[in-house]
Amino acid sequence: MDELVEYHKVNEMVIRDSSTRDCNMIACWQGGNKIMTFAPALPDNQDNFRQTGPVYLHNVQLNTDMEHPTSRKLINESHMVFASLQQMRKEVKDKSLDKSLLLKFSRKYRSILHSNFLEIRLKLEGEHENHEAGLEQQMKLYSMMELIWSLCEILFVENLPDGAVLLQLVEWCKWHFPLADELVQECTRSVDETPPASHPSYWDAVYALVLQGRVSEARDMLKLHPHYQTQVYDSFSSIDELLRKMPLFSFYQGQSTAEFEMKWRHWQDECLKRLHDGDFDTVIELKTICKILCGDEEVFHQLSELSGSWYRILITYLLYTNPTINLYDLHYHSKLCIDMYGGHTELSALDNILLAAFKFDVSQVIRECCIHLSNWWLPTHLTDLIYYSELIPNYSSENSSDLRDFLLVQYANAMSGVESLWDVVASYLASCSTESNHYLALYVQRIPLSSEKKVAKILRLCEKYQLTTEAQSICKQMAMKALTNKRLGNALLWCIKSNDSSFAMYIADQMLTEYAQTGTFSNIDVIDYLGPTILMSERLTFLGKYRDFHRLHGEEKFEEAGRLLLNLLVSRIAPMELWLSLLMDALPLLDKDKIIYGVEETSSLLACLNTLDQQDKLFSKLSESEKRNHLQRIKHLRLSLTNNLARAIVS
Amino acid sequence: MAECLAFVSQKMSRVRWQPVTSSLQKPDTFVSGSYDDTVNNISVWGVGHMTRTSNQQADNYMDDIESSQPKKLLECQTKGSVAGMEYVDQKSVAVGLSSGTVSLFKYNVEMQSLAMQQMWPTLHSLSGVTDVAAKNPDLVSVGEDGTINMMRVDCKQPLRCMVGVDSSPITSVHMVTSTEVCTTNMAGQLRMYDARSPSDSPSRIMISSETLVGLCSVDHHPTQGHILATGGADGCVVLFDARKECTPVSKLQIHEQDVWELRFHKTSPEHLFTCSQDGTVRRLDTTFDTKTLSSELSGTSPIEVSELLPECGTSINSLDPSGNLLLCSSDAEAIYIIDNAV
Repeated sequence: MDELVEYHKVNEMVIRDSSTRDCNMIACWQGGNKIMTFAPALPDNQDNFRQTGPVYLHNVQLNTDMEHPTSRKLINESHMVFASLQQMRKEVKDKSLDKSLLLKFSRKYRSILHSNFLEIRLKLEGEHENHEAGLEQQMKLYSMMELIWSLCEILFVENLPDGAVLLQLVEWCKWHFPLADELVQECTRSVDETPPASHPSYWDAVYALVLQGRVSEARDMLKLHPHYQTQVYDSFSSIDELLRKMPLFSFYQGQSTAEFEMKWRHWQDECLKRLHDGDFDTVIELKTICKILCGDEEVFHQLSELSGSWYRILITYLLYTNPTINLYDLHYHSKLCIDMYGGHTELSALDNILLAAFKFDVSQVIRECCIHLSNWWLPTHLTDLIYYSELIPNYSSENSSDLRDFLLVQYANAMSGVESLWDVVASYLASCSTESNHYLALYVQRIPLSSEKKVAKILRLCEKYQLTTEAQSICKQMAMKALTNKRLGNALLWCIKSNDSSFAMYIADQMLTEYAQTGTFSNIDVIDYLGPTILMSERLTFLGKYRDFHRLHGEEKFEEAGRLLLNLLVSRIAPMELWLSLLMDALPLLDKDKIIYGVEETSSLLACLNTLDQQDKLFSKLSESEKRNHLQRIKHLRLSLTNNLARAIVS
Repeated sequence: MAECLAFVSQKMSRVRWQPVTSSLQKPDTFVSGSYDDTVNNISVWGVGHMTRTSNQQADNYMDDIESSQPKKLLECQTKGSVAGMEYVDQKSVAVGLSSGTVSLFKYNVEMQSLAMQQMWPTLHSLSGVTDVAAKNPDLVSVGEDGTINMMRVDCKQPLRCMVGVDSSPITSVHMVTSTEVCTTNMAGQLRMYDARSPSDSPSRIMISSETLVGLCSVDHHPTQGHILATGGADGCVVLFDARKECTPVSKLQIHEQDVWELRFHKTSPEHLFTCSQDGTVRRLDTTFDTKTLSSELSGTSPIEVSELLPECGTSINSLDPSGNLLLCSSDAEAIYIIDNAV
């Protein structure tokens, strides 16, 4: 299974950059699966930097298996389970979760692994030769992860009492290594041509069934043998009887271990007796079966080929020698079985992981998984489920949360290469026990703000985790972006969203400047429907009121319009730069037949005009022609206003 | 209510059932458009239906689950995220992309073909198209740039470009009739445009609230065309009467967060389906009689809300009811098909 280790998978890539021809490349991890690389200008012999033209930065991206559709499925599906587990933890607060609940979660994870495994297998079967490269490797990876996960589930999560644990392990073997089923199928497939008993794998199939403790199936197989007779009591009937009578520990029916052990001893004594009596000397294969039943060490050596690996023989061996073994004693027997397969030096990465699991060393399991698996999925979720839940009392060390955080960040980092997984990444980062907000804040700043809809989603994320500063900064970025695109209305909406009154004032000023230059408002439809938000900034209020004036004027409600204009001037809400324009707006009102401004109002307007006239600072900013224009306008206004005053007094 | 969940390894921004020819026919094909991915595409999916009768045994159940899973039949890459998608007729789909392009795709499952039939390139600037609407042969696209484009299926040039008519980003569009178009924007306005009018200004502006909460989606009642339902960024469903004044008839807090899409059921219009950022899909049942709706504001509610998909943790981006099946897509790269949704 060593092909699953990542080291040999070296990718090579040529970067076409003429400036890199004769100097070293410098590369820097960007995080995730990205590398930034460039060729620096190197000093030559005289310590002068050669000018080789522009230096290009190259963004190199590794294609990790995170991009793979099946991995995406795993990531998203397991994220849902992960999220609900975190939710559950939050609900019970400091108390640790119920073990049966954790078992449910563990099974959910396992079923995801299995469904992915099945899907890849289906794909491989469907497209015969031209399937994607690496698909087979993916399938192996999933089956291996499932194997590890299910073993860890039996040992760490289920935490079964003596006896029951071995039954589960037998099931584990049956589920993951269907060798026996394959052999049986092979034998029984061609009943017509060759009877199963004369098939070369017939006995192997029987052995495999017995090795996996599937006695009734083994008996069914034996019945297919031509020498098997029900009427005569011979060696076949004898072994059949032994198999039939083999006691099975029924923990769930309330059987006590002592009771079972007694039964077991009686049964095995009987097996031994029959073996020594030479009941099976005539049929050598049956003798082998009986030897298995007696737990004969030698026979396991012989059949090691059929078992395939040390952990499978370990379980078989324990089944026939020590069926009520304690969970914590499993590894005492592992050495014997490992020696059958060439000792410790022959152990593969997977073997080491499983051995660590049998030794009940969770941290070792996680360490080995980190080293040997090509992704962080398994160690991350396993740590979260087992280690962090304090399922193993001896290991509830302080640094378990550190380890979990480290793995979560690693896993999130590996995913961050895929742009669309940003919400999953954020969710994992947010689950860190310490510094989660810090990580999250750093990450949120790096999510590309590609569309308004995505920004809305990112802002929801900020809201969920109370990232107020980041949310503000995003709003500001969006406002700036809209502003550079000359979308003042949109920019204003973003200001309002972030409640940024100074920026809103700036935008209102921009609108007014545009008006002063062109005489028309663009993007003004937002202003007309601002509602109470208009009070956010003084300038915005003015803009809104000024729009109202134009509207009233358009609707020929001159009196109201005139009053509004006067209010704008007197209350000093209007910026000084616009006073002249406002006063000029009053001019047509002065020409109306009906007197709109009375004595008092006209005097106020004149006072405003005088104030404006005395503003040297403002005046000095203008250009020569503007100055002339300015003075002329003031003169004209003064004349009209005095005329109006006269008219008002007379009437 | 049975639901079927499939993980499709892509975030889908839009899912749409292929229109059925008769109400007896069960929809069995749908299209989806992905977004926010390195490579985006549109896909055509086939759904087998549970044909199990009551006397069949439970061991067939697994097979049934297997066969009711959607299967990807066809796929075609797009340049940019899919933002809007709508069927024009039985076999052609109008797709609006983040690159600002609107394309018309035609597919044929039997012939294994899915190809672009027509393209109107870069109609929108900034982040491109946000939504498209279709009423054969007319198409409308809207974008964040506040532009509305009107096209006709067999015309290479757009019929009308209303550039920057809205100063805030337009979020969705819907065609009430082939000349009447309504749009929603981020400033919380529902605008009606008349294609016959020479002016680019809207024929009517309706406001959902005074607090400038954006609107995300719009649909019109299939039999009472003047009733418009909009979904707000605050989780409200706001109902308008296009004949009356500019204020909403009714405002209902249905969700916690942004209502990304809402659709009336075409054949049983008393159902309104909504999906939201908060991860829920709900159904509103009412007669949509404006008189009772407006009186609802003052007290007793004639509206019944039922939960179709309990909170799944991630945003539901799109939904489409057809027959008694409801199709939804979520940000967890999952597609849900909910049976007996009506």
